[in-house]
Amino acid sequence: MAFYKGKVGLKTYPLYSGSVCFNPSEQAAMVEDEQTEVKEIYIPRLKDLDLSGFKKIYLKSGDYTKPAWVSPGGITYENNAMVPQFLSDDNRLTLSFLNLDKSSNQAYTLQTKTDEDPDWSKKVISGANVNRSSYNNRWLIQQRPTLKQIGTTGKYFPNIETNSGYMDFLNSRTSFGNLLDLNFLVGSANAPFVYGFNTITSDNERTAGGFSNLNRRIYKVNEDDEIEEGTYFGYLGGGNLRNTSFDYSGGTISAQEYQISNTLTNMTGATFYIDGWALSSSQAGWLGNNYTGLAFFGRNYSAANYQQGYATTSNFERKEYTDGETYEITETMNRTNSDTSQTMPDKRLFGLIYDDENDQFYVLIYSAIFPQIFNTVNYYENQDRVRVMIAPAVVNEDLTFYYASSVNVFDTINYTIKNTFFNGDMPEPESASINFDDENTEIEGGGDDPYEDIYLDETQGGDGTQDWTKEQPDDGGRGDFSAMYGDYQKIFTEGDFVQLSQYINHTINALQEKNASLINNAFTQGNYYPGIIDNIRSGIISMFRVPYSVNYTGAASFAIGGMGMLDLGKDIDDYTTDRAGSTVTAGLANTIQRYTQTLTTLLPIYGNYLDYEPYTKASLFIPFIGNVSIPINFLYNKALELKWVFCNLNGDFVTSLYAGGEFITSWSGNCAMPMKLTNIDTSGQFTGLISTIAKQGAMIGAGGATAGGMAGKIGADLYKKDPSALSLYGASSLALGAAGLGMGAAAVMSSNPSTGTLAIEGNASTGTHGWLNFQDVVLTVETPKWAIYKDYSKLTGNTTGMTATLRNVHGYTKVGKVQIRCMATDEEKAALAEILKAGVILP
Amino acid sequence: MTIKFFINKSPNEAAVKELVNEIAYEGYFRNRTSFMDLEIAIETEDQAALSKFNYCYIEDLGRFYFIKDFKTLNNKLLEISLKIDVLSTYWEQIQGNNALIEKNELQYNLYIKDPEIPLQQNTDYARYVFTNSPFSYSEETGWPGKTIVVAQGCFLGAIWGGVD
Repeated sequence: MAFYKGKVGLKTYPLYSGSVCFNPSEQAAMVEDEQTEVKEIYIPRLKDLDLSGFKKIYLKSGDYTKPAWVSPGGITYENNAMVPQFLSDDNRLTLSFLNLDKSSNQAYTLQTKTDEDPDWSKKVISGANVNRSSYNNRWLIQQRPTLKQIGTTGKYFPNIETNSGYMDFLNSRTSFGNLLDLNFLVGSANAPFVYGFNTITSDNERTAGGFSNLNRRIYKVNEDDEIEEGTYFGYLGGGNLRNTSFDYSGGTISAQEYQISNTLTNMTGATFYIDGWALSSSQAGWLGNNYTGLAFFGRNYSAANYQQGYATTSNFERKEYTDGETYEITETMNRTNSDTSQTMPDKRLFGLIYDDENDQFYVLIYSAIFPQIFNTVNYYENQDRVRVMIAPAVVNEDLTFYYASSVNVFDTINYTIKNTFFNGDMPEPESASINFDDENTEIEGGGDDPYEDIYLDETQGGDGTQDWTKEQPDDGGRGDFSAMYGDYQKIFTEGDFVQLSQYINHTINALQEKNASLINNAFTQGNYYPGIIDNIRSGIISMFRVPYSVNYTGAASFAIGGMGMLDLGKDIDDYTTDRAGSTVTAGLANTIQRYTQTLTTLLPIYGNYLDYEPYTKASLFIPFIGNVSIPINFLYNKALELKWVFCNLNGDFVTSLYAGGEFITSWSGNCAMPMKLTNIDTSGQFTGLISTIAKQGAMIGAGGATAGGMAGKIGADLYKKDPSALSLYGASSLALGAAGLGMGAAAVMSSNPSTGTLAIEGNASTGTHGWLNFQDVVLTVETPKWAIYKDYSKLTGNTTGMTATLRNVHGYTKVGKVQIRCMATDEEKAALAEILKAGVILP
Repeated sequence: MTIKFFINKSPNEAAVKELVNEIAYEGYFRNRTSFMDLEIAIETEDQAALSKFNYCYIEDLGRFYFIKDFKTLNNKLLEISLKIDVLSTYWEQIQGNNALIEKNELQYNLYIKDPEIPLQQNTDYARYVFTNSPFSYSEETGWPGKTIVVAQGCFLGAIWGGVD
C-alpha cells in the first residue's frame, strides 16, 4: 500500500523528476547546511540507474565565502546560486554543480564525488559565464534515464542536428513520462560572444562558445530509455519560438504553405503558444524549412500578429503510467497532405503539459471548432476567433497557465504518476504529534480551476440605494424630448403648408387668370374643369412624414390633368391633353429603400452554459416596433446587422436581424406620421391627434394648433377668393352655384377627414407613437450573476458528461451511475455506489 | 488478527488516504459482529494515545475502517466503534469499473448545466445603444425625415421640405 506520498530526502521532491524550485530562503538554508555537514540526498525514482554505489552523494563542504577555486574577482556567498545537475551516463551517476554569481553573471563550480568515484577533482566544472536569467535562483534537481542508445558527438551529447551556425550546449536533461526534455544553450558561432560558455564534451574538457537562448527539445524515450528516432517534438523557450519570418503582410497564403509537410521524418510535432492576443507558433521543422500551416486569430490577418498555426501530420501518442499499465491514446490530428481542401477538419488536438510543481501531467485538448479558420481565401470575411490552442508537443514550464488561460481549453485530463517506489531509504515516520490546523488547511490538488478568478465576492449585495434612474440607456446624444417636440412642430411649418397651398392657390389663380379659358365652352362643355378640381381632391392619396432619409430625385412638381401646376402658362385646352389625373412627379427615387445597420458582435461572457438561454437573454429595442427577444444562442461570435426595408408609399417597413450574414428573424412596422389637410380649423383634431400621440407634451397641442391653424388658413385663403371666382361659374350648376367655390376650392380642403379623400387620417398608431419614442436601436443582454464559491471545482467538481474508467478520473469526482464489480458484499456495493455518487476524491 | 491503527490525514472521501503513525495491535474477535459497523475493545494502558487514531485496517477482514467513536469501558479497556471505508477498501478493485462521471474537478464540460452553481437574483445586464439607426437623431441635421405626398395617378410621392 503506497500511502506515503512525495516525501523523500531532505526536501519534498517530486516523485517523478521534473524540477524543484526553492525560494531563496530555502536555498540559503540548504546551502548553510551543506557548509557544515555532509548531507544525504535521496534521489527519487532512479529505478533505471544502477545506484548500488550511489545512494549517498556527497557535496563537498567548502568555504563558500571564498572558495578556493574561485577566481580572484571572487563571489560572495550571499550572491551565490547553485544549479546542481544529476547526469547519468553508462550507469554512472555524475553530479555537477554550477555555482552562479548574481552580480557578475559568472558561474563557478563545486566539486563532487560519489562513493564509487571519490575523486573530487574529477568532476569539476568551472569558469563558465552564465546568463543568470536562465536560472534565476533555481535548484534544478533533474535526472534523466540512462539513454544508453543515444548517439553522441561528445560524451554527454546526443546526436542532435543543430541549426547551422549554432552551437548547442546540453544544459540539463529532464525526463518525465516517456519523454526526455533536453535543454540547450544555443549560441551563434559567428556572432560575437557576449557571454562565453564552456561546454563539456568529455570529462574536464571544455569548449568555449557563445549562447543566446535556451533551446528546449523534447524527445520520446522508449521503454528501454532510448530516444526514439524521429520523435523530435519541437522546442520551447527563447527566441526560437517567436518566429517572425512569417510576415505575409496580409497577403494570401497558398495552399501549399498551409498544408503540413510530412517530409521531415523527424518532425512529429509543433508547438504553439498564445502570445498576448496573437497566436504564435514555432516551426514544425527545425531544419530551417518553414513548414507551417495557418491559423486564423482575430478578425484581421495582419502582419502585426503571428497568425500561423499548424499541427502535425502524424499521430500523437501518449502513454500513461499507472501502476505499470500502459494506455495509448491516438488521435488523428489534422489533415493529410492529400487533403487539398482549404478548410481545417474539426479535430481535437492533444497537448501534454507537465506540471512539475504538482508532479502531474496535463493533457490539454483544444477544439478547433471553426473550420473556416484555415480558409485562406476568404479570411477577411472570417470574423470568428480561433478558440483553440494547438499544443501537440510537450509543453513544460515555459508554457504556464498564464498562457493556457488565454485559450479555450476544451478539456483537461490530469494524470498523476503513481510510481511511488524509490531506491532510497524510507523516510522516518512523522512525529506522532499531529496538529490539524483547520484554519490554515489548504485544499490540495492541482486542477485547472475554471472558476479560479471569479469566486464569490462576499462583499456584494445591495443596500437598497440603487438609483434606478441611472439605469436608463444612453440616448446616444440624441437630445431631449424638447428637441423632438420642436421637430414635430417643424413638420407642420407654415412654409410647408404655404407651399402646399401655393399649389392650390396657384391652381385657383391660374383658373382665375385663365378665366377666359375656363369659361371656354369647349372646356366646360367637356366638364374638364370639374374634373381638374376633382383631381386635386382625389389626386393626393396620402401625405405623411417619415423619419428616415428619403432618396428623391429633385424638387417635386404637382400636375393636374397632366399639366404642372406651377407651369400653368398653358392654354386651358392643354389640360385636355392628358386626362389621366393629377400627378406628383420628380419625387421619390424609389418606392423601396434599404438600409443596413451594423450592430455588434456578441461574445460569450462566461464560457459555459450560462452564456446561453435561459440564463442569458438578449433583446432588441427597435424603434417603431418596441422590445423584441432575440435568440442569443445563435448570435455569439457573429456580426449582427439589422437590415431595413422601407416602403416610401406608406411608411411600412420590415427590419430583419442577420447574424454573420445569415437571416435570423424579422419584424415589421410602420413609421409614417400621417398629416392632415383640411380647410377648416382642425386644430382640435390635430390637437387630439398629437396629444394622443404625445401624452407627455402640451407643446404638441400647440404645434397641432399651429398646424391646424395653418390648414384652416389655407382654406380661408381659398375661401376669400370664392366670391369672384365662383361667380364666374354661374348659378346654373349647383356645384358651381352660390356656394360656388365653397363647394369647389373650399370643398377641396374641407372634405371630411373620414372620407380619406384629401384628409389623411391620423391615429394613435404605433408608428406615430414611434416619433416620440426612443429612436436608436438598443441591444440589451441580461446575464446571470453567479455566486461561485472559492475552490468550487475542488469541492464539488464541474459537470463532465463523460463516461470513464475510474482509474482515469482524478480529483474530486461525482459518479452518476456505475456498475460496481468487485468482491464486496451486496451491502458494501450499495454503500460504495452511494459514496461514489455523493462525491469522492480519486487519486 | 492484526489491527493497524493510523491517523488519516486525508478527507474521508479520498479513495487513497494518507495514513501516518501506524501502530499494530494483535487480538481476536470474541463476538458475532458485522463487517460494516463493528465495535472492538482494546486493552491499553494509554487510552489517550490510542484515541488519537481515526482510522484502522483489519488485515484478517481485508477492510479499512473509520473510527467513529471511543468508549472507555474501564481504565484499561477502550471500546472503539468502527465504520467500514468501502471506498478505500475496494478502490483497487473498482478502478477498472466504467462509470458515468457527473462531475469532476479536472475534466469538465462547462456547457453542461451545473445546478449546484448558485445564481443570484440580481442579474447583470449590458446595453448597447446603436445610434446608427435609420431614424437616429443628429444634433446638426435633426431627424433625417421627409414629408411624402402620395398622389393618384402615379406611383411616387413628392417630397416636401420638413426639417430639411
